[in-house]
Formats: sequence, structure tokens, C-alpha cells
Amino acid sequence: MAFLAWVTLLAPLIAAITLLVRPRLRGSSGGPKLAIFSVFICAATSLVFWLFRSETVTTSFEWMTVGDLTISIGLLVDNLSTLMLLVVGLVGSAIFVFARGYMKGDPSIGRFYAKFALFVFSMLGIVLADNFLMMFIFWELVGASSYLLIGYYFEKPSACDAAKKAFLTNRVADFGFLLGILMIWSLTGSFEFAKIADAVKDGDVSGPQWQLTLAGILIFVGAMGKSAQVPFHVWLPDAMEGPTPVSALMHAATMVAAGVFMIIRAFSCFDLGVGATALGGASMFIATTGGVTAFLAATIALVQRDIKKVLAYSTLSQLGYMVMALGAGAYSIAMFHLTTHAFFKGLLFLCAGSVIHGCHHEQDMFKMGGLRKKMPATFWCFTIGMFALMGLAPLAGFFSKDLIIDSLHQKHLVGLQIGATVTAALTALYMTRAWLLTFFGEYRGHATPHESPPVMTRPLKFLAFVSAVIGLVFYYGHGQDYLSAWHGKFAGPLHMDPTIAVVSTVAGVVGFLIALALYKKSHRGGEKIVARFPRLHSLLVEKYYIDDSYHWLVQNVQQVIARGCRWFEEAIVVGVLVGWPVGVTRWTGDRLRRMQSGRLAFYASCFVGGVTILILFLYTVAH
Amino acid sequence: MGWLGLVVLLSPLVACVRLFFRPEKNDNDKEAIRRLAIGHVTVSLVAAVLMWFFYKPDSDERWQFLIDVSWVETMNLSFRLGVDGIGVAMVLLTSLVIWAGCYVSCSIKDRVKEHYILLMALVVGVFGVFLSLDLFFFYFFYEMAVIPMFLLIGIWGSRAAKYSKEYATMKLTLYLTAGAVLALVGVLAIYSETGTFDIRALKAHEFSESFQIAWFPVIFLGFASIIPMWPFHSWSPIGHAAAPSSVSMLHAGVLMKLGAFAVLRIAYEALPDGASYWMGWVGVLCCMNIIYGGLVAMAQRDLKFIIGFSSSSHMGYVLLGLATMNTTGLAGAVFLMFAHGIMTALAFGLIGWFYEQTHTRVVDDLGGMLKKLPFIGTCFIIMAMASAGLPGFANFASELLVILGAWSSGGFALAGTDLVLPYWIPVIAAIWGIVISATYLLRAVKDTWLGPENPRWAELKDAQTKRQKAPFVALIVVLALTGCFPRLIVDTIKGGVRHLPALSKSVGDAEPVKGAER
Repeated sequence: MAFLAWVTLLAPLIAAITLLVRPRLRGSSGGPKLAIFSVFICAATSLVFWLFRSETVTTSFEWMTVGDLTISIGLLVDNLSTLMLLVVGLVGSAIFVFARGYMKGDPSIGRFYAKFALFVFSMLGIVLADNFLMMFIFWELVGASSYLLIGYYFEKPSACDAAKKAFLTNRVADFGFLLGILMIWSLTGSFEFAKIADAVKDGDVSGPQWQLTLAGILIFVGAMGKSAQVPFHVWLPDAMEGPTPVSALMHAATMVAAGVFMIIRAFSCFDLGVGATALGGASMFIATTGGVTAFLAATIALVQRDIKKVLAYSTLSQLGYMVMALGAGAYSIAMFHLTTHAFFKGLLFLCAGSVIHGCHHEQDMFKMGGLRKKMPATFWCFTIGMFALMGLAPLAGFFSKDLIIDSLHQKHLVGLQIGATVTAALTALYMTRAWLLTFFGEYRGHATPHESPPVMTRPLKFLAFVSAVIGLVFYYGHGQDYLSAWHGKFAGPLHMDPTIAVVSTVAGVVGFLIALALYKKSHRGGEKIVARFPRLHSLLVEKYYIDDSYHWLVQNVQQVIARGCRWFEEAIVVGVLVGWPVGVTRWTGDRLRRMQSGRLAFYASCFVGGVTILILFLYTVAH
Repeated sequence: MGWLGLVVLLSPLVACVRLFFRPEKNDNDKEAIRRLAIGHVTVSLVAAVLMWFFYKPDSDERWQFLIDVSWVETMNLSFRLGVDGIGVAMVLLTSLVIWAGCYVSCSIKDRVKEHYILLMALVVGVFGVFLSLDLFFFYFFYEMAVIPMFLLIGIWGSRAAKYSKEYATMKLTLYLTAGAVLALVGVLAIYSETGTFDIRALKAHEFSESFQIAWFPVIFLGFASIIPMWPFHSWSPIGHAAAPSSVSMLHAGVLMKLGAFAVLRIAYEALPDGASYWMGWVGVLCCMNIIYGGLVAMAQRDLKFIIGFSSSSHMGYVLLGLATMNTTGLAGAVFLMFAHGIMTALAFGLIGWFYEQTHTRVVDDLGGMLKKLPFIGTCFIIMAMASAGLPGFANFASELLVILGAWSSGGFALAGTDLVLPYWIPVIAAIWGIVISATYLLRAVKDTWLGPENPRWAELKDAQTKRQKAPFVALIVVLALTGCFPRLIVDTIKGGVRHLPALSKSVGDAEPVKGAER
């Protein structure tokens, strides 16, 4: 089994390297096929791991040893990583196939698949890592492949800016992550999850409680970057500049969920038993961050025009839900929502991709409309995904989202519970708005929309099917034992309070009806409300001015400091520290040079003067 | 196996002599000259790789590949060659960089013969420093490396922003010479104490504590100006920027490492108590290197200046590693010297490639070149990623070691005061330095390569032939190999580091300081 784990990890890497060093393969259809095949391998092996899931596989080799410090690279296949492998493998396969249709005709499709396979490799590294440092290594690699893929259309300045922004935002967050890792290392003496868990359980922690809490928060800061939580969320909507399959796999299904996965992996080490954790105040901070993100993102989604941006903000909002669950200590529920979300959000993005493809690369929903009849398969799949996201029973989101609200309720986080319920209504509102604008009414664009080829619709149907059933399967099937089983730590089977389910369903229906009332007749239905609340509208359109204030900070703080340093370098270090010795040397040399004037009379008088002084001196000494 | 070191050292020297008698009349002659130089550095490279392969890090023999030829017996002066793990890593680095540099210099058309003669003389000096086990020869080779640099920049260099190449080369030479003279005083003081030039004897000799505390700063400052330590760094970015590509490669890649190497080989070897007394202050200065260097790089517009200041920022990590005085930090510092040498050689080689065609390095003029130069551009992006500390490249692994070493150092006592610099301050500076480096590097990548195709650069030519691609590919492969499998080089380095006398003075080792300072 250890061998199989290595195969899972390395297959996409081998595909990526092959594509990199074989330019000829990049140009042909063999390149994409190779990449798709490598992801199929991952999906197949993850199914094997799923079948033998009672077995925990560990394997590792020594990466480097210096002094008493050993850093190893090791794989850990337990219940948690198997589930995540399954998500990456299955959603990844669907999206890789889809991309063949979507990217068809792109001259550098080989480059695209090389980078995409590199991403899958890095993602699998995070999933399989058995220690913090290895996770950090792949964490960074995921960031780099995200940079490469967002900036895939590198001739578009906006894409380059978005790529840079994504990388740097994540880098700032990783600053916290690495510090957190170092803190935990110094507290427990190890990087390995298993050893850290033992140390925490035995109370073998060399430091007061606040340090453990601080370490937890710092690690969470890393997750805030990758999972785009406020205030690190700004990169994710911009990341939609990448090709749509990239948005689907990385910026919806897997990569952004890596933060949540990492927290689950990391914090399961701090778990002390039923509901108790060694994290102290960190939990509250985490839950609040998630709640704020979920709500803010959902409100911004209400006013977006770009179909991908709506979905991007929706992703932010859903990640906020997962983070709330983490804060409430409901790790298995967060993982459940991560799984269902990966399928239905991947589905929604692929539908959006299909729509964009059908409308000849038009992304503005106000230039779509009436696509229901022209793209029936896409329409139905989108509808399933949308209702799954809104939490309509018995689709996937119903179970996972309501369980999150339930977990908040159990922890008596009333404010967050209300916020989450309101956000559920907002979710229904913006999704229905997007649905109506895209698929209903009259077509408002200038292209001739057409249904996408089967290579694109088949993955849609596959994901739609999974999105429809996965919630039921998990809730009533073996899934919930499975979810609560890893490490044998997390308490109890999943159980939902019917009242909460009813309340949140009602919230969803209310959102749905409001959107229906506004947009059923005309795509201009929202204008009345905009006219009544112009300031609120511009606040939302400007994304609460967060991007603008960051821009201001970079321009007016960071650049000013940098220019100040440059001035110091040129004026003080070069000008004074170097300049003055140089000046003194020059000046002295210049003065002394004048003695060499070439005039005989001057030399003669110097000679006479010198001799006189010498004689006088000797005379004085002699007497 | 001692002859391996001799081969490494003599091969470029022989090339120097042979080139002297070569005609340079037409293009065929020039081509023959290039081939000859490349041939000889390839021999050095092969010998260096063999050295790396046959070096036994676990052996009790600290110095391997020994050669000892007595020269002036009355002064106890001999021609002694030999290496430990640190030396092996540095020799390997030098031979790789000069090998790539010789390929990159193929584009020089003017005074080819003189160029290669000087380049070979330079590299003999550098090899000599890394191989010498005798203070006299150490110093001799050290100076020998500086002089050809003066001519190489002065003749084949280019204007660097507002500074002329003459200014740059004067400044560089004066700085290095002044530093070397300062260090020479310290070296002579050591000689007068011990009565031998043998570096191997330094560890056994017990210098009094007052001697160590008095003389360590002299030697350290002399050599630290070549590292370059803040605020003695200003020669370095200008020198980088003015030098021709191959010289920049060698200068940033190898010459700057001479300083840190000399500190390890002489100051740490002879004066460990002095080191542990003073190094706390280096912990402060290195933060200036890291943060300040990065911030200045952020405000630069000339690509070579950006990389130049980034070098001084990265060398701050080397200083931090030296300051920790534990195995992890020191091994990290040496590993970083290796990694940074290769990375920065790659950077200057690539910049040189398009500078010959664009005649500008100012990022505002460039942009949108990736379409025209896919190979060079891709290599540049890989270089930028490596330099920004992306895992998978050696820079990350080495910086990680330095950071772990700093974390477990348990703080830096500042000599002359009662203050202790807490270990987490340099650690935070170091991690934040990685964020800063990502900022200016990605900005440089974007401004140079990405964006819409620029009609001004429609005529640019990409690397086509194997000879054009080979140096870049080789450097990237080494960076990635040692980054993915750091044991390849770390095990070698460890073999040298574990014998350093300074280690016994360290506060903590890689074992995390559980409960320290609480």
C-alpha cells in the first residue's frame, strides 16, 4: 500500500515533468491525454484506499538530517486523507476531462496541462503529508502552481496582476503559518502530526497555554491565506482571471479547501477528547473569522455581474461556513461540507465554463439570458448544483450546511448561528439571481450560444449526479461513521436538529422567492433596489473598499519605506560612508599634488628650507 | 586522492598559460580559445564532482585530499591543499559556476583571449582560497582573485545606472583590498602567536581569551566586507551591475562566498571564543541585511541592481546562520552559500542574455518578452521562484535550516552590553524577508516578461543551440536536485561543519529550545 501511496503522489508529477521536457508532446493531443491519465491513476488509487480504509498507511524517508534535527518526507493515508484524495481524484478527473473541450484550440494547451498536473501533485502532497514541514513545502508549491495558472494568459495585464496578488497574499499568510509551525516545534519537539498529538495528549508541552493558543492562531493565519478568509480574501475573486477549469478545481473545489483540510489535520493534534481542545481562545477567533467571511462574501456576491465572480464570492462564503464549523470544533462536519462543496461548486464552475464557452467567452450575466433552451444539459446540471448549494433537501448542501448551523447552535454561538442562517438566505438570493439572469428571459448577447460538446457535458453530468446523492449517502450510509472515525477522536455520529433544518430551509426559500420576484420578469429587476440604496450598493460594488485600502497601503506605505531605504542607501551609505573617505583622500591628494609643480625655484627653496631646519635641529640636539 | 584538488586548481592555470600563446586573429581562433577554456573548466568540474563523490563525511579524517609540499621551512610555510565538507561544497559551486560562466561568455566578441585569460586567473584564485590549508597561500589566492576582477569589470563591463564601470570597479577593488588588508593584520597576529601558517594547527592552539576577543573583530570585519555585511555592502550591487555577465555570475555566485568562507576557515577556526563573544551583534546586523537589502531591491528599477540588492539580502541569511553557531545554522549557512551561488549565477547569466540584445535592463523599458524568449523567460521565472524561497529548490531548504538554527540558538548576547537579542527577532526578520523577496521578484518577473507582446522587442532571439541552453539547464537541475534531495549536499557540508571548534561554544542545537527563555 505504501507503494500505491507514492504512485498516487508521483503520477501527476511525472506527467508534468514529461510535458515540460518534451516540447513535441506539448503540441500534440498526447500531452493532455497523458495528464488526464495521470489524474485517473490518482482517482483509481484513492478508490483503492477507500476500499481498504480500515488500514492506515504510513511511509517516510529521511529528507535531511543536521545535528539532532531530522526532517522527513512521509506519507500518511488515514481516513481523513483518503476522503480528501477521493475528492481531489474524482473532481480532478472530471475537470481534467472537461478542460480538453474547454481549452480546445489553445496553442499552448500542453503548457496548461503541465501546470495543471503540477498543481494536482502539490495538492496531493498537502493531503498525504505526515508532518508540518512537508505540508508547508507542498503548501508553497500549491501557491506557485496557482500563480502559474492564474497567470496562464500572461499577455493579459489583469491576469498577471491577479497572479501576483494571489501569490503575495498567500505569502503574507504563510509568514504566520511558518511561525506557527516553528512554535509548535519548539513546544512539542516535533514536526510530525502523530508525535505532536501524543505530546499534547500527555501534556508534554514546554510552554504555557497562551503559547499553544498563539501557535494555533498563527497556523490558522496560514489557512486564512489559502482558504481566502477575511482579510486575506482579496486574491480569490481576482483569481478568476485564470482559465475556468482552473477556477473550478483550484479556486473552488480543492486548493482553497486546503486551508480547511490543513486546519482539520493540524487541530486534530490538539484535540483532547470529546469536544475539548488544547487551543483555548483560538477557536472563538476562528469561528468569528469564518462568520464574517461568510456574510461579507455573500453580500458582495449579490451585486456581481460576472458569472464567475458570483461563484467566487459564493466559494468565499462557503469556506466561511467550513471555518465556522472548525471554530465550533466540528471538524468532521467541516470535512463533510468540504466534500459536498467540492462536488457542487466544481459542478457550478464547470457549468459556468460551459456557458462561457457556449457564449464565446462572454462572462457578463447581463449579456446572457435564455440559455435554458439553447444549453439544456448545462442548464439542468447548473440547477442541480445551485439547489445543492442552497441546501434544498435532499441534495448535498442540505445536510452539510445545516449540520454546520447545528454545530454552532450546540456551542451556543447564537450570533454566528443567526449570521449563518441569514447567509443561507443570501446564498439562495444571489444564486437564484445568477440562475435567472443566465438561463431565463431573452438572450441579450451578440453571439450564437450553443450547447457544449459531450467531452464537456459528460463531466458535468457525473458531478451533478454525485452532488445530488453524496449528502444522502454520507448522512444515512457509512459516511458518518467514517467521518467521525479518524484518529478515533471526534465525537459521535452526525445528527441534525429538525428545527434547524426547517429554519434554514425556510431561509433558503425566502431568498429564492425574493430573487424570483425581482428577476423573473426582467433582468433589470434589481435596479429599483439599487436606486433606493445607492450607497449600500456602491459599498458592495466596491467590495467594502478593502482592495482599495490594500492598494493604498502598498502604494503609500510599502513603497514609501522602500524608496526611503533607497534614498538612505544612495545618500548616506554611498554618499557619506563611502563618499567622505573618498573626498578626504581626494582632497589630501590634491593638496599634496600641488607641491609637484615643476618649478625649479620652488624645489630649490624647499631644499634650502629643509636643510636649514635639519641643521637647526641637529644643532639643538648636539647642544 | 590528493591530486584531485591539484587538478581542480591547476586545470584553469594551465588554460591561462596555454591561452597566452594562442593567436586571436579571426573567428576560428576565437572559437578555439572558447573551446580551450571550456575544456579546461570541464576538467575542473569533473574533478570537483569526483571530489564530492569520494569525500567521506563520516570519516574521522577532517581534512581530505591532502597535499603538503614544504616551501620555506624557516617560516614553517608550505604549499598545503586540502578540503573539509565546506570546502568540497564551495569547490563544487565554483566549478559549476565557472563552467556555466564560460559558456555564457561565448557571446563576448571583443578581446576574447584576454577575457578568458583573466577569467581563468580569477577562478584559480577562487579555487585556491577554497583549497588552501595554509594561511599564506590562502591570502595569496584571495588577493589573486581580486585583481582580475578589476580588469574584467573595467574593460568588458557596462554602465550601471548613474555609475560608470570605472567607478564600480575602483570601488569594488578598493573595498576588497581594504578588507583584505585589515584581515591580513589579523592573520599576521595569528601567525605571530602560533608561529605556523598551517590552518590545521589553529584548532589545537589555545589562544588566550583576551587575544580572541581583541582580534576576532579585525579578521571578521576584514572578511565580512566581502560577504557583504551591512553597512559595508555598497560596492557589491554596483559591482554586480557593472560587470559583464560571466563576471557577475562569478562575482555574485562565488566571490561573495569567499568572505563567509574565510570567516569560517580562519576566524571561527582560530578564535571560537572571540566568535561567541561578538556574534550577537552580527545577529543584529544580519537583520539589516535581510530587511534593508530587500526593501532597497524593491525600489530599484534596474534588474541587475534588483538582483544585486537581493544578494545582499540573501547573504544576511548566511550571516544569521554564522551567528547561530550551532550545527543547523552553520550547515544552513554553507548550504545557502551553495544555493545562492547557483541561483544568482543563473540570474546574471539570464539577464546578460537579453541585455546584449536589448541594451537596457531597466524594467520599465522591458516587458512582454516571454513570447519572444520562452526559454530564457521560463528559466528566469524558475530562478525568481527559487530565489523567493520556493520549496523544491535549494534556497528554501537552506533558508529553512538557517531559520531553524536561529530558532534553537536561544538568543544572541550582545557583547559590551547586558542585552540579549531574543532569538525570535532575527527569525521574524528572516521569514518576513522571504515575503519581501517574493514581492520584488514577482514584480521583476511581471515587468520584464509578462504583459502584452512589446513590438520594441520583436527582434529578440531566444536560446536555440545546446551550447546556449546548457549552462542554464545545468544550473537549474542542480538547484532542483539539491532542493528536492538536500542530503546530496547537506551530508557533505555536515562532514565539515561538525568539526568546527566554534560549535562547542553554541548555546543550543537543532533540538528545539523547549522551555528556554521562559
